[in-house]
Amino acid sequence: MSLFSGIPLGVTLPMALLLLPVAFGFLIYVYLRHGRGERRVVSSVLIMKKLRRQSVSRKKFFPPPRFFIELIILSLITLALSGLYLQKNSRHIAVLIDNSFSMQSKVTANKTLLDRAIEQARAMIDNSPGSNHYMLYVTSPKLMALTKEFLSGRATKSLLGNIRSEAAEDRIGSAIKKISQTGKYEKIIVFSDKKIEALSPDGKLPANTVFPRLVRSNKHLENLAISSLSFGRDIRSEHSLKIKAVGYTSREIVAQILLERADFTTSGPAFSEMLSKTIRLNPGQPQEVRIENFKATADAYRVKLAPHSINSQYTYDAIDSDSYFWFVPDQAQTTIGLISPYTINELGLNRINTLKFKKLNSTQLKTDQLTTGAFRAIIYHRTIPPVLPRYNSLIVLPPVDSPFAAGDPTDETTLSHWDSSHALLSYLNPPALKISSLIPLRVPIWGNEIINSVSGPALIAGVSRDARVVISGFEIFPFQGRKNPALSILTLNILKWLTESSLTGIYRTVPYTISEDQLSSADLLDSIAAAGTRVAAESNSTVTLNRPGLWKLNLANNDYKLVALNYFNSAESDNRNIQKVSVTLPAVRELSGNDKTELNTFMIALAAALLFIYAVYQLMVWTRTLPGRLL
Amino acid sequence: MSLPASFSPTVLKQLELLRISTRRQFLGSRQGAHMSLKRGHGIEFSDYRKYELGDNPRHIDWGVYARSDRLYVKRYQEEQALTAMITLDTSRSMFLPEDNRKWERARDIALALSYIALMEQDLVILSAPGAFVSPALSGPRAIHTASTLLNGITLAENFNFRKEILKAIARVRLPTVGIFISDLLMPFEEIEGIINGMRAKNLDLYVIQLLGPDDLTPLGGSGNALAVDSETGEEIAVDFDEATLSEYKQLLSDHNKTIKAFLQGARIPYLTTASTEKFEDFITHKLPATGLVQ
Repeated sequence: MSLFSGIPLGVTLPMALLLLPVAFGFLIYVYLRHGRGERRVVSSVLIMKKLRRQSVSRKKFFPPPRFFIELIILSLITLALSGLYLQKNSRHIAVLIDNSFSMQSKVTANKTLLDRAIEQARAMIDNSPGSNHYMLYVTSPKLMALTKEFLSGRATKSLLGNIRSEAAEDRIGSAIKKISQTGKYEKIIVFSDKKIEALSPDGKLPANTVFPRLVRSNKHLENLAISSLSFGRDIRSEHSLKIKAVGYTSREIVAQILLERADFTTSGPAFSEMLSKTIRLNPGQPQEVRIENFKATADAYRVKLAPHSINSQYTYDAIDSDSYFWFVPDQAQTTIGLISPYTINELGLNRINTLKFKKLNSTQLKTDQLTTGAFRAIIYHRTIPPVLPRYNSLIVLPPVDSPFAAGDPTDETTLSHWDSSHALLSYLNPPALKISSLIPLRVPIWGNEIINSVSGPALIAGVSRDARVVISGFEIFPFQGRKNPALSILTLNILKWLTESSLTGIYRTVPYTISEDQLSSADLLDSIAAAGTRVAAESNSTVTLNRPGLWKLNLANNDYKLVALNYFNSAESDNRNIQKVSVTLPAVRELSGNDKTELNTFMIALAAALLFIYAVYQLMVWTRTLPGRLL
Repeated sequence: MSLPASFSPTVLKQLELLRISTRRQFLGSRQGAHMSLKRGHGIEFSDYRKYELGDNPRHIDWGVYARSDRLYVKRYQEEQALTAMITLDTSRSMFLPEDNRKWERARDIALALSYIALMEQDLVILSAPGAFVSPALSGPRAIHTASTLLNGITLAENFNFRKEILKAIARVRLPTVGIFISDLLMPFEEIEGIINGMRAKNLDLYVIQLLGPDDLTPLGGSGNALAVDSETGEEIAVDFDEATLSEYKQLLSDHNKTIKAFLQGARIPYLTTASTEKFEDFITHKLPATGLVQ
């Protein structure tokens, strides 16, 4: 344990330091009770003995010089007993602060888990030897070091104040592994709310990792969140708004959903209540609230979820950010992009009157235009995107060497099983499908096997990064209408599924990078915190927005465009399984003999030397009173 | 051994002007400058005595013989040397605390008195109870012997001071002048015993009380300490403030008054001095006031 911040001194047995006040107290007591002052030889105490007032002001304590010598000797002996050492080498420590979304959880009225983590990190630095050097990391939006080189404790402490919570997940397990793989650190101290068991189920976390506890209980961390919102047409209902709410609580609670519309005035958006609904949330189970016949007439909307006042006073909502949800009326285009070696006509897509298609080339494929929401969906025909897209996509016949393909094409295969409940297979009789050639698919983690064959998965669908993605291992084009009913129905189902829920149109997920011509800046109009923030565009075209809220993109000629950004991640909003104990993995490297200089011997020697000098002095004084002394 | 530094040539010259005086006449062992009880040759006429066979005819008063036809011889008061017995308190209280320099001052007083006596051809016996009793020193050169003797005195073990002093006095055969130098910081009964022992030897006694600064103002007048008695080792915690110091001074004054009353009753001159007092002033002004020196 370090004795003082900034000084590389430490003690092996801190409890032994408790002897110090005890020893001091004892010494003072002895002086008060017996000595009280210097021992002075006087000619005679004959007269002094007769003093009646000799005990007056007995409580005064004027310690003689001898007292201080004894005090120093006592202190030295106590320090020696406590195992005082001087650290020779500085230690390199990685401090990893989890600044993910969940760290916004309020542990008290005005303190979040992140605040507590920063406080603890500061205290840890204060209690560590001053010779230590630190590298400060944050987990979100991605793992990054806040400095390029090691910092002193003081510099690290000042840097801690700059850390803000991000609307992102932490991926703390992989962050620790990455930091550990650098091999530069003797210790990794992780300030996170994530449970260690959840971080590393295989128990392969680096051994030199320490997890200080941030909270003792999750009593105040119950949280309500809006997990998703969809707006659009579906089979049963036109123009319905579906809001999914979830309560990460220990018991059923009653919550209230409030829908507000935002109309723009010169001073900004003015929110007015449209309707409110009371719902009952079971612990951890999403509850869907449907608002029928919703007509989007306002510029933007805000949904707010809060505990109902009829709940007991012990109902909390730890994270505000996930209890709000913003969306703007569907601004998405109806156009579907096509990237294919064939033309739109060759694929028969021109026959679908309700949708517009636009052929793109591979150069455009690589541009950022595809991330701007300019298209409602993109079809990758016989090709694949360089990265998994963040917009609705259809990938047909991925190349054999792509990560989506599991093997070589096979001729005529037989379907083995399928998920008939999925919307893609509505009105479809899968055995009617004639698949002449199939590329077996590899199922990504987010994907569900919709149609499976004896050769492997044939059709996969799922939601990846808020985007719906369908991968087909067989050709679904050309669209031939009634000439090929089974395939036509499947093609229409796929296109309908990709376009029915224009999630990417009414809101986006942070972080969100947008490119627009003549885009000068973006203003955060409404948010839980930091409303009024302005982000300038890079190269007058691109901004990256990383806070949930209602944003206004400022375009040329005073034109603007609204963007709603939200964030939800059940792993971040669910505080029920939080780390509540400090854990130090067993193999943390303790200071070895090479790292520290034991000062016990030195202290004892110093005390002995002082004692010797003092004894010699006393002896000299004493010998002056010995008989035979020549005066 | 040379005299201590306090004996400057100026001081020595002043001392040479002084002589020991006595209030009584004593028998001496040799000729000197003091009127003796011995009748014989001298300047001062004493009385007549009938001539006896063997008397020196030169002492016959022929005028009386002419008038009375009887032979009478004239007798004169002889002038003899005085013996001064200087007794020093050699107990530990005179040595400690060292910075009080009481012993040094007592030694200097004794040497000064010895110098005065020896310069007048008087005899000096130095008595240091527990250490030595010197033979009668005589002649000016004997001052160096006296100095050597006194400088050779060391801090002694505790001893029975009263017993030792009476043992030293027992060696005095003829009544003489007695000078007792001590701090007198001892129970009154002990002082009384010592003085009475000296009186029993019919000494013409003078008492000089010598106190150190710590005896007059302990601990500089304020503060606390564990006071350790230099002789008995008795420890006492003291805490001096203005009031305590005032009480202490009163008690010391009472102690001294008791001694003074006793000495006055015994017609013994008594003089108090402090070791911090200027030595020259003490010898040339304060000491003659007692009548011990003129």
